[in-house]
Amino acid sequence: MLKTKNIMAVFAVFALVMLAGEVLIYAAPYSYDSDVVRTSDGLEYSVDSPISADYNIVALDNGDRVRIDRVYMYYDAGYPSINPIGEQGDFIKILEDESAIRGLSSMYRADADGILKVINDVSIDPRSVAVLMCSGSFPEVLYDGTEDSPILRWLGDGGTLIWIGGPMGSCYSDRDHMMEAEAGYEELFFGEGTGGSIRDDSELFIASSGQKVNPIDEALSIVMNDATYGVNTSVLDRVGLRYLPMGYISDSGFRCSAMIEVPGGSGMIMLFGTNLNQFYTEAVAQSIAAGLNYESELVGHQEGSLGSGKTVGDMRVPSDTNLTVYLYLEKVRLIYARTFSI
Amino acid sequence: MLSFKNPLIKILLIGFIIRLVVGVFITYVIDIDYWIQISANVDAGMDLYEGTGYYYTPVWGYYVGFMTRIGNLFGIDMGYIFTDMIFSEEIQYRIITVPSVVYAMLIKVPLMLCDLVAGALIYYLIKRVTDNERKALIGCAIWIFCPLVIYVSSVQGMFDTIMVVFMLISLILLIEGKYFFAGAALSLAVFIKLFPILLVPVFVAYVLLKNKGNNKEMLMNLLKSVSGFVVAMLVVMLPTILTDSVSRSFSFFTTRMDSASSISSLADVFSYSTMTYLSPIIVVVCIVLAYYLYKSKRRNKEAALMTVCMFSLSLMFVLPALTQYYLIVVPFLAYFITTSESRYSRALLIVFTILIMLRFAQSNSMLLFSFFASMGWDISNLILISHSFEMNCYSLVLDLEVLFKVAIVAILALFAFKMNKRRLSNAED
Repeated sequence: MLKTKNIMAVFAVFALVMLAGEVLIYAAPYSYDSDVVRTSDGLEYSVDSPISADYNIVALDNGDRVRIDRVYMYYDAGYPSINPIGEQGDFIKILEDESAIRGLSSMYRADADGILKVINDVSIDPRSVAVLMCSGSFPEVLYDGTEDSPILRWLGDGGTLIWIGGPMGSCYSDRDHMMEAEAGYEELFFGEGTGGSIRDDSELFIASSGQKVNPIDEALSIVMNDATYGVNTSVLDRVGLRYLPMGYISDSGFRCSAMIEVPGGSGMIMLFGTNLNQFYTEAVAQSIAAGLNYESELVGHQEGSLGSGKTVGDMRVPSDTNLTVYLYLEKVRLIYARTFSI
Repeated sequence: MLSFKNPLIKILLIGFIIRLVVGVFITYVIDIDYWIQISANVDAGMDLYEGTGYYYTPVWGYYVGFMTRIGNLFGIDMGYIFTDMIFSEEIQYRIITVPSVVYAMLIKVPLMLCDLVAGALIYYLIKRVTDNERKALIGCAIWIFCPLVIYVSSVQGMFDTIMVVFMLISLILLIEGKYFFAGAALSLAVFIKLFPILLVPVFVAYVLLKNKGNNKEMLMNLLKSVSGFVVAMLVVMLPTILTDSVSRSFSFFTTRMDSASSISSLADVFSYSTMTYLSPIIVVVCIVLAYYLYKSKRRNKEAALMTVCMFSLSLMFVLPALTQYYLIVVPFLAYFITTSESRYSRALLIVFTILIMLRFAQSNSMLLFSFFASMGWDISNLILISHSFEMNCYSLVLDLEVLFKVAIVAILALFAFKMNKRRLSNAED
């Protein structure tokens, strides 16, 4: 029944299917296009998608803060750190991928000296730059547990620190040793009376109350329940700091994440109080791409399904504010996102 | 003519129906979650290695890419994300991606068809080597109804079966003297999952053996095989070369090598750390086996080829092997059961079946996530059962698995000893 020519035919079929996949992926990849424009009573959006997907249009009033246009990601094997350097590398790689899908191209890796150079460069507007730390501890050249630390000065000048994977400010290191900051180090970042506001117990701590007060989370499909290094927002309330709560909150008052104003200046700390888990790269990328800050407010959200081809729609939003519109498509995972300032 | 009265067609048809039924109801969600990630990357317009989640050489990614594009024509749902358990402090993986049954079948049905093609190829190969229809049918049935084979394609959605198809095509074309295409098929098998690279010295030895006494022919045919291998390799790898992602395409292998640090406990002997130490030894043994083939005086060169192929591939089982890796030797076991050494082959098949049972135990309620979720049912209790098992029995099952994997190596060693004795006595042919 079977002959050599049948075998060759089977081989040809398998090889052709493989080739078809190769060509489709590398020579004819999907491409998307989208646009959002303001109209007299709201906004009009258009999405050109080659496939059917679920869509979300999120309109945010991000206040007066300058949108971050560059992120420097700290990665330096020359300093001891709480999180292993391999895990940091994996996290950063995935974050780069997640950011690329969202149209964020200005993500750069930098070592401690590189970061120091950026934050000391007077020609760079600190308000447009973020420094991301996923090491769990600071290199001493940036932070040494004192108020004279360069990173604190830079935050006071309007810079943004994105922190994930450790108790922020608790540890720093020179090239050989890890050192602990004195208790109450939180006050260096959040001001007087905020000591003890960050959890520093490394045992996994799940925020399990189910209370989720921020509708922006929902609109951006951000899910966070790990509050191991979370922040006690009631302390921030007490000292009158503005912040945008993110993720769930524990019964003891620790929030997984928050975008927190730096006192006495225009800086911001995007604190992700989770462990360094690859799952949270989506939350970090989504927050950066949507331009979230402590002033952010949700002013409109529309979701639904769209078919392949061009889809046009409109949405009512307040006409008197500067808006950031974040548009994203999902098919279980996010496959496309773009941000528009209108 | 294809006819349902034809016993081969009957075997393949029954095998396909079993797979369809099994495939719809039970799905091992962990691996298919990675295929969802590849599909999502393809949907995002990224190449295989731009996004996260694909760590193999590119061939399987091309197939998933193709199936993704086909699925998009019909607008299928890839799956669901469950956040129901997010408040439970007990559950390790609080967010669970569950593939839809439709997506799982989009991936699994082509793999089931590969099983059938491999079954037909085994039939052809055994018939070609033994010239016995009955043996060929039994060999085909062993593959088609082997629980390991059914599990890997129809439950797990793993792609080892495509590797087996290309390996068998390569073997048949080698025997038929189609050297260029044999080399090309072997190359595709290698760039699906690297393991068939152990066959390269064997194939070289066989080409030399077949053309012994005619140096010009020997060189020409060797060149044809090598050209086929290289051409197919270039076709497969060209995009990764152009996009500077060659190293990422081998990360499935290299990350396991990187994780090798030192052997500090007995458990480490069966961990990936052994790869670093054993890999060079395996290469040397493969070359020695190939040399044995070249020096073989057996009249039935194909039978000698099958023996050496089986033992060359078996060498990888001294390294830590996941259950699906054993699929690669099942066609050879089918051959040996129907021809000569049925005792050891049967023992191996039984151990493989036990390993699959352990796999079922290990996965337990997780196997139903996909079906339940697709029906819109609550999977919270299934998640709790799965988690409870993981907390209480997982390490015990893993220990049992190690025991059976050691048993596989022991049976293979006995098998090799027996075959070597037979070869020396040159009694069979």
